[in-house]
Amino acid sequence: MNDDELGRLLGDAFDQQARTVVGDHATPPPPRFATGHGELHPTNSWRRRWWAPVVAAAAVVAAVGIGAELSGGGRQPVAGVAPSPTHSPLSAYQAPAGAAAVRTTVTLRPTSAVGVGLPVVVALSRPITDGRAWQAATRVTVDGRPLPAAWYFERTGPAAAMTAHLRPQSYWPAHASIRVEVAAAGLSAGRGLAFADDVQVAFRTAAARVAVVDGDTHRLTLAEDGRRIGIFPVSLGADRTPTTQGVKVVMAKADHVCLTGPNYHVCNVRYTQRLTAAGEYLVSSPWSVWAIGQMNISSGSTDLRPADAQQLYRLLAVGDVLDYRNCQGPMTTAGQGYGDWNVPWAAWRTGGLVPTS
Amino acid sequence: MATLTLVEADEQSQRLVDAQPASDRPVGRIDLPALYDAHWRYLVRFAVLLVDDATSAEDVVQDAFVALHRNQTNLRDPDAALGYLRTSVVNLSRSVIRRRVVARKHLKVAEPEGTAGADHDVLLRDEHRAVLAAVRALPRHQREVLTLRFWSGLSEKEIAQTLGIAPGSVKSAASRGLATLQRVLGEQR
Repeated sequence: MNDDELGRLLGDAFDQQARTVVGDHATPPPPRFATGHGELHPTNSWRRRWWAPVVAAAAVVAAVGIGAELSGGGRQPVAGVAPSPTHSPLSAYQAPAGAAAVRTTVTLRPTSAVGVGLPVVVALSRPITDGRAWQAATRVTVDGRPLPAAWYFERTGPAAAMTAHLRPQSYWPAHASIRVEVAAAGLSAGRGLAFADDVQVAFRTAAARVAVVDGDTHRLTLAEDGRRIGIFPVSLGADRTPTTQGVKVVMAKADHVCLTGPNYHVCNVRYTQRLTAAGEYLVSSPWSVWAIGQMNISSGSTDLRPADAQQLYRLLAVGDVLDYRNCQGPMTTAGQGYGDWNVPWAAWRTGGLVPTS
Repeated sequence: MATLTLVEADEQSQRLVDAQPASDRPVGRIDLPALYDAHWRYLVRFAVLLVDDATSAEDVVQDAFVALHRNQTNLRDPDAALGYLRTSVVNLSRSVIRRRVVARKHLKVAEPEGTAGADHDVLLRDEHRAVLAAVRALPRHQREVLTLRFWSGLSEKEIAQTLGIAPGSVKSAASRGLATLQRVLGEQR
């Protein structure tokens, strides 16, 4: 056995041991650092104190009091992110009779587990002017525990008058079951407008697969649940056609497609994974193998060696995250596919085109 | 927008409105609950590989987050936060092992052979069990280096930063560890 083989055996053995003890569906217990119940101390220091047994006894008494709260919530909502208590009750948002109906359609109903970066997208049949009722009627749970998440209204392509994207502050928890319910039927969408439908979406997330793509080092580094599982050389956009910066999400996968631009038309391009609405892809690029890992010469896409492209096509799912750094292009915007994660959370929570709070 | 020129032939170009210029990434205080949700599983797994039992591993990770919670005013970059947590896990795992050794010295009753995590090993394949047993017999820092190298997938430089040692020491610890494993596993054949 050479050292490479031994290294692989070690990696597999470590992974087996780690996964045997902490399964993919293991959920974190409530964190011990304080999130609303006062300052807690590290186990080791407080166990040593003389009053520890007294505190433990008191904690049992207190636990009876807060037990219901904890079992319902698990983790307390983060201060400043939780729905504000000043929100009006839903009844305040009832639309008057005769308001025009706004139909809503969930554009994506995933059948298998998705990546942790996939926002929930709802298409609206007509532009609205007020998103507060919609946001107030939204409940998001992760494995039964509530998670703060906010809607952002965007004007996108010709398919819908307006779309709303839902995301939490950072990526969805991995290996989790997520439910989104919006009890919006009959609520106001602005003056003279009323939502016609309730929305329910349930999906599962896969492992947290996050790739960092660095335009300086020409490397794509892929991690799964925090563990680095591969490094792939790439060639990004040339100076005149730079690749955009920031977080992108795999939108769709397709083998054998035609790609067209000003100076080219290539067909039978293999292992493509779409990243932006404008047309950035991960592609198998036999024509630029000489530049891959060396320099940026593509027309904006991420060129990969054919074998690497095939492997990434197998590894990545729709919703997986690619974080582009040191690229010459501008920041990927929210309208570009699922560029939603590049909008700062504080700006996201204001709702985009219409107010949500 | 940049002129991005790869567009599927059959697809009509979409009209896109840039909803919000988003040139700035979120900065400010790190979001501890989000970090906790994102990295809890990874860190507990990492700790398990160092201390071998789930209970100690979970304690170690909780304490690492409590330590970060106290120090978060000095840390703004979430990437730096993960590095900080990883280093905390290594240090706290060392204390667990040290305490375990001390406790064992004072233990009056006989203790069954093997480490606390050995009961999980029945679920492992033979070759994995053999290599893990050999790893547990290595000096502590060699085991840490091999775990960070072959499970976490960190580079020599990152391992050096995590453990607070020179990159040269990482290299020598890794090669010594691998050599020992080669010898031990070779003898078993």
